[in-house]
This record gives sequence, C-alpha cells and structure tokens, in this order.
Amino acid sequence: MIRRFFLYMIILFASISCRDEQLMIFEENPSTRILKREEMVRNILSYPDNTWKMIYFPKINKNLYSDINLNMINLEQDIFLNLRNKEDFGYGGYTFFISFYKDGTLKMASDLHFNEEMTSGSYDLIHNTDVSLSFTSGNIIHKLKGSRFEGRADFIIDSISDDKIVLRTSKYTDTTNEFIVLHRIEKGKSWKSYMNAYKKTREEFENMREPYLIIKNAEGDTVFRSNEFLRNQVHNPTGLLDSYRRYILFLKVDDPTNFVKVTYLHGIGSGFSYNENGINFKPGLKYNNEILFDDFNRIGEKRYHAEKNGFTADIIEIKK
Amino acid sequence: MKRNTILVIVFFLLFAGCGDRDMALDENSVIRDVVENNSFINKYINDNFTPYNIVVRYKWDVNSTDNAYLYPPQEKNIIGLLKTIKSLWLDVYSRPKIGGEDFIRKVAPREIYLYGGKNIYKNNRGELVEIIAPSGGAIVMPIYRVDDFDVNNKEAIRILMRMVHHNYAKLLIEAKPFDRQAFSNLNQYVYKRWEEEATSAYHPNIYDITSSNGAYRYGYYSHAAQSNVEQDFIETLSVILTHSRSEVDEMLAKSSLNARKILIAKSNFLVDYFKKNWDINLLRMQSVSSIETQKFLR
Repeated sequence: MIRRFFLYMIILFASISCRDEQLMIFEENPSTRILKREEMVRNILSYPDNTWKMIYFPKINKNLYSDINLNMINLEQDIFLNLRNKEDFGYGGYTFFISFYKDGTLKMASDLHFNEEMTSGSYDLIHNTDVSLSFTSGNIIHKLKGSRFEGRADFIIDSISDDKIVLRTSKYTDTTNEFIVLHRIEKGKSWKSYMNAYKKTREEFENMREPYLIIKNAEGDTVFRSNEFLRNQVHNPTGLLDSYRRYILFLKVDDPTNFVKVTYLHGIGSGFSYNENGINFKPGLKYNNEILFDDFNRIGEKRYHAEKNGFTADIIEIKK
Repeated sequence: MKRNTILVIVFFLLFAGCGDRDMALDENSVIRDVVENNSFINKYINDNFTPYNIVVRYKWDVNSTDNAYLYPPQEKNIIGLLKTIKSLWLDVYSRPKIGGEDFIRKVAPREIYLYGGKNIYKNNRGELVEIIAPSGGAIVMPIYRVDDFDVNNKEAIRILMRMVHHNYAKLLIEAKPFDRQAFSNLNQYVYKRWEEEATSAYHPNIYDITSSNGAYRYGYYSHAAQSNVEQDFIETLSVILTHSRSEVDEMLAKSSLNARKILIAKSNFLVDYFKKNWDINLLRMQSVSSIETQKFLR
C-alpha cells in the first residue's frame, strides 16, 4: 500500500515537472543583451552632442577633519609636521572634457593641466559582468595613475542616462571613497568656456593669501571662524600639499602667532574641484551631521558662499 | 574490411571539415571580429615585427597586468621607439657575424607590451620605487616609460635598450641556462632584495651605472643585479650591450681593485657563455651595438 502511494507520488511529481513552458526571465539571451547594452552605451556617449564633462575624485577621505569639535592637540597630532601620510588627504577633484566618437576614438582635455587643446586617444567598452568603459591609449586621464593620485582609467558603469553617467572603479567596495560622474555638456556651449571659467577660479582661489571659512547659524551668529589654513598652492608645488592635490583644511587655533603654546586646534577639511559657478567640495565641509557645505558659488572677488538648512558658509580672504 | 571502412569514414570526415567558406561570427556573438586596422603604427608593426612572429601591443588591456600604476602609452612616441628597438636589438642580433638572420626567429618573445609610465612597485616599507622589469616569465617583453622616450636623446635610448636587453636576456638564459653556482661564486657580497630595502628617498637612478652610490663598488653592474643570480647575469649583459667599452672601463676605473676583478670576471663569464651557447662574440656585439647607437643619434 505504502509502495503504491510512493509510486503515485513520483508519477505525480514527474508529470508536474514535465511542463513544456520555458521560464524566461529575460526575453533575449545574455550575448544579445550585452551587445545591446554596449550599443546603447556607445550611442549615448557619442550622439548627438558628444562632449562630456567628467568630474573625478580618485580618493575621498570622508572621515578626515570631519569633526569640528575634535581638538587635534589632545590627540597629539602635530598637523603641520606630521604629514608623512599625505595621501590621507585624498586626491581631487579633476575635470576632464571628453568627446567620444562611435569608432572608438576620443578627444580629451583636463583642468589637471588646463590644456588649451584636446588630445586624441581611444576608448573601448569591455564586456565583463556588465559593460565597462576603458581608456585604451595614453591620455591625460592616465596622469592620475602612475605613482601619484591613486586613480584608475577603467570604469564600471554604475548608471547611465542620456545626460548623466555614474562610474566607479574596482578599487573600492565603498563607492563613497571616490566620485566619478559624467554630465553631457549643454548644447551650444564649448568645453573651452568651462575650462576658462575653471582656470579663473583656480587662479583666484588657490592664490588667496589668507582664505578663511566663516560659518553662521540661522540667527546669523558666527559658529565657526577659522584663522589658519593648510592647502595646496598653485605656485608652490613643493609645499606641504602639492599643487595638484586640491585639498584645503580650515583651522581654528587659539593663538596662531605662537604654535608652540597652542592648546586647541580645530579644523574642517575637504577635497575640491572647480565648476562653472565656483567650487565644489567633496566630501564637503562638515559642520555637523546635518550641515555639510559642498557647493560654493562665487559671489564676488575672492568670496565664495554656500547655504544649508539656514546655515551659511563663506570663504573669504582676510587681510591681516 | 572493417579497418578500410573506418579509414574511409575518417577521410570523409576530414574532407568534410575542410570547407572553404569563411565562417563569419554570429551577429549576436560577444566575441568581436578582428578588425584590420591600417593605421601607420599597425603597418609599421606588420612590416617589421610580424615577420619575427612578435606581436606589439600598445592599446590598454585591463586584464594584461595587476599592477595598478601602469597605463597605456601615448601614441606619438611609438613609431620612434619601435624603430629604435628594431635597429638596436632585432637588427644587431640578426647580423651575419653576430646571431644571424634567423637568430631572433628562434628565440623571441611572443609579445612586446608597451606602457606609458615607469614600472612602479611598492616596497616592503610601503614606498613606491621603480624597477626595470617584473619578475616572472620572459615570453612577454614589457617596455615602460614610452611617454618619456625621445628618439634624439641618448639617455632615453639607453634606458629603453636596457629594458629590451634585460628582458631578452631572460629568454636566452631560459633557452640555454648558465652555471648559476659558478657565476654566483664570483661575488664577494651576498645577494639581497635591494628593491625592497631601498627607501624611496635614497632610491638610486636604476639606469645609472656610475652614480656615487653605484653598485659597481660591490662588484655588481647595477643595483638590480644585487637581487639574485639571474638578475646579476641579466643586468651584466644589459649594461654591457648598452654601454661602449670605454664607458664600462670608466666604471671599472672608479671601482676598487677587488670590485674591478669581480666585474671583469663577470664580463668574461658572459663572453664565454655567449661563445659556447650561441656562438656569438659578445664583445663584437657590444661594439656593433655602440656604433649603431651612435649612428642612430646622428
């Protein structure tokens, strides 16, 4: 009786498993899907206005100088002397202007060196688990590789739309440690106009003799006012932070004239890049968990302004 | 009878497999058809390196290396660099009184891989230092610093040819090994992993053989030669073929008597190795190499 029961059960299960429907999760096979994806990426890159603005922060240290209440003196951190691990500051950001063509060639310029003209090169779309973008002949972007900058030139496409592409590299599992975004340049605008604007901002910002950060709350009270700074300098590549690093640290010291007797040293720091309106900071100048200033607009000569949740931040030049 | 039937079937299957149709890849295949690129660089490679069955790669392949500091070369320097390699390596070894026309065809790397920057390596202190070539096989010849190459600059040519001869020597000793123990016994000082011990601040110019902190003082032709017996042999050859006899003599004159004896003994060891194994007069090849470099710079 039991044997017959099991026999019926086996026949029942066998007949259920023999349905002639095929479960299709995707309508097309994997190779067709990959080819279509590649074609879609190539079309978006190269058509119709094929010049893109790529913002690249190769290394973002979001924990460094992100606590305004931390007294670095208590931590025995001699900020000016203890810079052996300069790479902790991170790198970036840099902007690349890239014109992609359908045949796999490209032209590129960057505010890393403020090129006057674009240089030719090539790219490829690589099939891995998804389509990746790889710059296959030497160009300015490869300056971020080598012994400095810790950059890459092979990118995984995280998301893509007609006007924006988000990339990442295989270097980090935490994607907030880098920032790579491409925006299509507005129709009718030339990459040179962007570059000229960036160059002007850079000359002004990185040559400010005493750039100070002033943060005010919603009531207009000053809650932070720096009186020292540490940053890269355009014309001083052998300085504490080299000219390509693009990092600034705004410090508040109880007695900036006598560092030997300093008892407290607070600071906020961030990497930055230039944009059409001023300066973009990444990870941003963090006042507290709710107030993070990132986009600073140029509002006058040597004056940059940002607002967040009623708080304001200004970077200005103080003449001592 | 049964055997004949099997033979007939085998022949039938063989002929059936010899269709003359060009099978195109399926249009949905993710494997790409090889597109014949007739660029000037590719034509130069086809004319000058393909006859030796050597592939030259200058486009980036993300899977080619796990060294994150490497990147592809800018294309502007490639032709000049390949012409230099052709004249000072392929043509020199192929001379009738040196290796002969077929020498390189018999022992050649399958690929030359070009990189734009230096071969950067992280030493055990976490510092970035440059090394001439990676450890490992010789079937691929990596060439670094292509972006810095200048066909009119003697030092740039020397640095390039140091890499070429270094990598090619790897192949030669793989094909015909030398007596490692005998060569090692010529030394007074034991080998050390100098790349890992050298700090970046004191890291020497790895291509300069007569710098004040030169390895010649210890009986080595270069700093890299201090690493192990293979590197010692390879670097000795690389230095001899990229320096004239007078330049090597200048280095010898700077060294102590004991170090000079070691350096001369190593040079003699190589002369003997080349004569016995490859029937090549190394000193003649050194002279030819030096003359060709001078001609090249004119």
